[in-house]
Amino acid sequence: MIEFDLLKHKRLEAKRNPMYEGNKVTKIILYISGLLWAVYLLMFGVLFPPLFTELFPAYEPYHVFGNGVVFIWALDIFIRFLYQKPPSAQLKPYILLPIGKNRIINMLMIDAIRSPYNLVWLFLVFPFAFITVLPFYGFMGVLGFVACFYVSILINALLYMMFRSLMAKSFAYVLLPIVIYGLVIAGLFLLEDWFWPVFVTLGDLWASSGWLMLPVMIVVFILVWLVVRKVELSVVYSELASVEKPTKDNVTDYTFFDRLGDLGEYMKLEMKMDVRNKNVRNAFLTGLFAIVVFVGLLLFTDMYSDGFMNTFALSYIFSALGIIMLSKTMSFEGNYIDCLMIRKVSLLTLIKAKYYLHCMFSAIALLLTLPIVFKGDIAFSRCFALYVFNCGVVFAVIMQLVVYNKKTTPLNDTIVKGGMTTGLAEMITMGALFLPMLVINILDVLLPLVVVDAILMVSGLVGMLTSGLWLRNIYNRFNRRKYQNLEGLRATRP
Amino acid sequence: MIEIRNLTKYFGEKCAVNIDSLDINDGELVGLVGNNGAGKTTLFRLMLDLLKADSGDVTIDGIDVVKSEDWKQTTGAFVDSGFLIDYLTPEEFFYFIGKAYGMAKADVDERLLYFNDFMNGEIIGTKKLIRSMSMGNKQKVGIISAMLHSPKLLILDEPFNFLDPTSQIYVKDFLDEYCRSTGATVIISSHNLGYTIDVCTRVLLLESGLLVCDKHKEDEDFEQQLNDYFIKKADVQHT
Repeated sequence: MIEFDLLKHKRLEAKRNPMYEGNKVTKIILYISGLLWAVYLLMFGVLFPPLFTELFPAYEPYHVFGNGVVFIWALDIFIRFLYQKPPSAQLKPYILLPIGKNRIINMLMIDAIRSPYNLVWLFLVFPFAFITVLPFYGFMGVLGFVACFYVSILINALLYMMFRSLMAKSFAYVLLPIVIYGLVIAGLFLLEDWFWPVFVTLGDLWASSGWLMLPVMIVVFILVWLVVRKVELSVVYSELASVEKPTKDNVTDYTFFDRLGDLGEYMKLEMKMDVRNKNVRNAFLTGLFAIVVFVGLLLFTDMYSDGFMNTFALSYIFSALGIIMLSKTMSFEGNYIDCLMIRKVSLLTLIKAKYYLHCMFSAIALLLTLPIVFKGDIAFSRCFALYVFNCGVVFAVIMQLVVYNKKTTPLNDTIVKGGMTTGLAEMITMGALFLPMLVINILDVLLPLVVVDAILMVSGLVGMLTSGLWLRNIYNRFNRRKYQNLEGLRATRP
Repeated sequence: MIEIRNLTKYFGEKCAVNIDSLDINDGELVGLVGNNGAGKTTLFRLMLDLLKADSGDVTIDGIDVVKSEDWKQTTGAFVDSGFLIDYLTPEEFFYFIGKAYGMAKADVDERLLYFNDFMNGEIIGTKKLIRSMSMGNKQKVGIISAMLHSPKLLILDEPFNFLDPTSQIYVKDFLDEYCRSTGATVIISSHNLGYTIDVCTRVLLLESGLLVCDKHKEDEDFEQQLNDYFIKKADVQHT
């Protein structure tokens, strides 16, 4: 099958990527963290059955599981949005070959469903089914239950792929998964009489007649496959055929940055890159969207009311935008890196401009958290401390990627030009996101809030005041790896 | 002006550049010719410190390009689209480049007048982003950006590529004129042997990274030898 050759090419694309060596190390680290996650899920798989029995004595736990599976699907999609790469592949070389369009898209879709991530939920479902289904329907019942659930996760993987591709077309499609999963979850709460029986029956059928349900699940999978393929096809081909409209009368020059001299010139360049390129713009909007979602959750729900989750949400609010944008530093610039390199020290000014601009952008998060402060849920000092800590410490960590990013990210093509992120970038991103959160949580347990805020502020201020020094250090280290990075950036330029 | 000593660059087993010694003097208009894979672009990248040499060094006005960035102020180059910031309009790009060399907007505007005919009304004032332009117009933007600050050393890789015949003649003429009027050193690579022979005062022929021929315009067999080389190559490939 030609699909296997295409998949082989995709594998080679990854293997011959200039970041591959780095990817191998980070992949191991990511696998280890995946393993920890698996242990966590195993624990839930064992804890859920007695909990469900206690909470819903009228039902068997697998009935309740059927009811809660929507939450797993929603969480699965959410996690995929946080950590999974958008679908992408070098598709252009195949377009004119006598290979059916559907088969080319199949390659993308096979890649999505064979991701090892899809297996992770089995760590939850296997022990759960062993405890709850085995006594009633035996080992085959367990396997049937797990198989049906696994197919549902594969369907979710396809849907995620579709959402991401549609978002590449227009960021507004981010609302689609929210509407779909939100409506079902809302239905479970608001139209209990309608929705509960449906999902309870689903849980019952998976457990009692798993092997009979499996063909039904496979039929649903095939139907979703066909729908998603149609959508993918239209998105991919519209991207391939896209001709940019002239941007007449729509060219802003951001002249207010002129007063900042050379630095201002690079700030203008950064602003124009953010606004005029689809991938950069979408990354920016994703960051903003994440901020708004978490602010909304803190403002209107109790989901993040406990200390740990509250810190998680707040850290995310302050760091999301900067981490999303700054983790791509040099990857976006790879598209025109030679232009920067043949001019004296322009790169140092560029990374300085990026840093200062993102410190300014982070103030958006500070403004957006004000309603939560006024509501009285969070102290302003905590928000301000997190803002300063983010600018001084988190950004200092994430900007280390300037030294290590050596894979160009397309500025506009989303699906048809190959991968978007690298393992190393993902690891540093996750580190920058979660390590501060863990440290803050530990400090919160050990010290009074005022002291923790003071520590955050002081460390952040030190980072900000010494930014000139560590940015120069990044620049010097980049220069030491210059040839290696330039080669990688040039080799991966679309 | 430019001194190259013991410069080598290998990609795996393949020799991309291996030049023992080469001097290019001020005011020379040098053409670099050779078949595909001869090492022309690699040599340019080594001269511009965009690639690490395995050995040897390149100096521009006595400055080792690896050790100092001072040569950048007086050098202009356009090799490929990686030298363009394509989400800018040409005006924005020229002002940005101009600023990098300490030129005020007015200076850039004045300098652009020199290229008015070359731009043929398709570059400035169109409010189009560079990425929306044709390959030919992108090439023009690249060439102009390299010449904007009137560099003492101008390096252009395949400047005639993508250009319509009229624009090719323009490039040929203004490179000649630029070299004569400013005393700048100009190095171009090209597969257009006719134009190269016509405009260059000196032609270097590269083959598998080696400098196999170095001819000056005043040499008797300047044109003949170059033509013979490529005809012979074609014959060998044909047989």
